Amino acid sequence: MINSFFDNWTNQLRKGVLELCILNDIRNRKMYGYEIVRRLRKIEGLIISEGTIYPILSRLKRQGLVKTYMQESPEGPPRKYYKLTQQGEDMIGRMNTYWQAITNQTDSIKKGKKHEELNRYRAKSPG
Amino acid sequence: MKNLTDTAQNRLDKYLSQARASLHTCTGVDADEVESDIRAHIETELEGIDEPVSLDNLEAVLERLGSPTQWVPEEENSWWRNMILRLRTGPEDWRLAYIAFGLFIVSFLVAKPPTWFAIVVSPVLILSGTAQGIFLLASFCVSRAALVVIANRDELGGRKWLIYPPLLFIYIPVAIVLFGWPTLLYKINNSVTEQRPELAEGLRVAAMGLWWIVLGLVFCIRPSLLRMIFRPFADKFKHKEAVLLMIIGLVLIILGIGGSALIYFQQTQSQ
Repeated sequence: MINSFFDNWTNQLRKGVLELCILNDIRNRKMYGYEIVRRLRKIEGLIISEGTIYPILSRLKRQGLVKTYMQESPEGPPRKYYKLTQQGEDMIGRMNTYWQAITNQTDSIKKGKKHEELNRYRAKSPG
Repeated sequence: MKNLTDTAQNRLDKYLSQARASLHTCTGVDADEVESDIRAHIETELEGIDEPVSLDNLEAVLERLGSPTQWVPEEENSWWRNMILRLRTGPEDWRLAYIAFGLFIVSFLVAKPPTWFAIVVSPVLILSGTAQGIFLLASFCVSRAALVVIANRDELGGRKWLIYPPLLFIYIPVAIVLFGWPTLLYKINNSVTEQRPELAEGLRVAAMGLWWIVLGLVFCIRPSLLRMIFRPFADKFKHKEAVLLMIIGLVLIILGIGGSALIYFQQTQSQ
């Protein structure tokens, strides 16, 4: 029961974070699909199946947040590169602000809890 | 694409066809584009590996890519796709619920002519061994099995729409027979009513009341019995409800005998 709760929670969290990471990755520079996967696989626990990245990219494209173009590759067949659209730029700006606010507030709640526990401990301990 | 061994090629074909099947039902993505991305991904991963690529090398790449059924979130799939996935891969409680409802629907399709009024005759259909009765019984059994898996009624959610119809088709006639059999029998063997038809209604009510007192007593001693018979609808049945049943039974006896006695004395006085 506890494990299934944790799995469910991480699944839900991962989905949103994955989209945030992909858009931020593309924001910094143009990238092709495999390159995005290779970078994201370094973040432990973020990707369970590498194949999930491609449907997300396709959905982002359909929603007009990214666009693609083909470019010749010196190492093999032409590659499909992903780039943010203006709409995608605006969206990732909003997403980053939101994410920052959430993490700041979550951190402050966690720290506040620790302070409370410390104060309680100090109040109880003699001297 | 690189050359693969026959077994590796077969595995790749199967994997891509599985990917196509998963992606084509997802409304939010371009399935062909994703498939081509996956091909490109596999090709890039296999770069530097000697040809023909073996099954082991390919399998390592496919394992990292994961099962295509996991690529798309459940909420992005069409409803029928989710239904098939739940039937094929579980979870068990959903699978049983769909099977129960499927059997229930089949029970109507096999009926000749369609007996939509089967709700009142389902035990007869079952006992007489008709195809409709057999499917109804099967859907009822699977529904009960689903209830065992789900255990908590509050967790039923949308599954209740799949499980409840087969259950009700059996529960309603069973409840009618369990609580009303004195009235039914009285209709069959009505020697008293032939002699004194004016007393019939009162005696019928009294007989019903007497039976309800017996039932109330039994369920007061073993409330779990009723809960077990009518799961999940009687899950909250307790001693209090059993006592209430006995009180209603007592009231019915008083009303039935009192009414009959009143009619009897009025008739005797008028004679």
